[in-house]
Amino acid sequence: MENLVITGNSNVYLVPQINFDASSGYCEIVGESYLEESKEFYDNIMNWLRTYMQEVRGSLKVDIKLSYFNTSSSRCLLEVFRMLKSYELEGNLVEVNWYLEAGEDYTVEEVEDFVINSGLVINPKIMDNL
Amino acid sequence: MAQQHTLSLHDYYLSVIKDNILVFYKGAFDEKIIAEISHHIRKKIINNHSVSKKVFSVFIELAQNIAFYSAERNIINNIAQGSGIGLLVIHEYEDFYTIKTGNLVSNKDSIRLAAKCATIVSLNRDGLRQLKRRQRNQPSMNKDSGNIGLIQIALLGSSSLRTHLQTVNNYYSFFSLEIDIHKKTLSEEEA
Repeated sequence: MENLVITGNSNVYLVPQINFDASSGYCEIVGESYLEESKEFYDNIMNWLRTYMQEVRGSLKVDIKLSYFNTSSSRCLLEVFRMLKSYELEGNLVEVNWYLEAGEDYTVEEVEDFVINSGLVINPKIMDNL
Repeated sequence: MAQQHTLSLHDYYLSVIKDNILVFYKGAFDEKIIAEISHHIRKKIINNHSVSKKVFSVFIELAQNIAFYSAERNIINNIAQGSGIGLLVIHEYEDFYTIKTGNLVSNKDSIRLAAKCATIVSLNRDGLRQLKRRQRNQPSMNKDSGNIGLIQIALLGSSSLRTHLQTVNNYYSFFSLEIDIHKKTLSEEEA
């Protein structure tokens, strides 16, 4: 199975960097997310995860290092978390970490709301700079 | 015969300065305009990263609301097309920023919008978060819209959302919205 790599950019829209590694199960979403077509972008991610879950069936570690995401992206991220929760309920190991900037209480709330909406454990990690 | 006017924007220019206007824009909210204004916001608000991010985040949600839902569009070949047209003003005061937008909405949509705004204004922070979680579970009307933008704006703001609907004619109303964002975050004020 191939890795999923999408190069981030901030030209007109804000496209996050995607590094998903099929051999280790390590997945990273980095940067900012405000997209022309949020659903299509996150469908790519979900399609890759679906294939990994069916073919590799290994553990997954997901690190989210998003310093900004709009509400349209937040709806899509919730779908990703729900998919990860279903995979976990099937007995697979899933670890999700969300890296936050210090002092951003509203992002802590965002993470809490994702946890409530999806049932998935998301570990908040405070860092000085993303 | 058209009436002749002496053109001088000086008084208008002075009023813009007096009103502490950081950004003023009226026109179509297409992706390039949104990108330009968002770059400008980030360049202008550099002292506090968290505050800059809040102003930026509120701007993106408001701009997308106008782009998707404004009833006013450019008419090209007798067809209304392109992104929605609206007005944006960002004021900078000593302690806070005020972000204002205005755009036309159909009178049919204005009833639903007024009810939505009244609900948002009536809720405390926990209530807003519950509503956002509930709304995010519902299918969105637009595949590229989160449909929770107004709630998110209320959560990011330092003041209540202030909204006003003014009937323009039998078909349209003008929707005005504004919110303040303090220059100091809550944790900075408590320190």
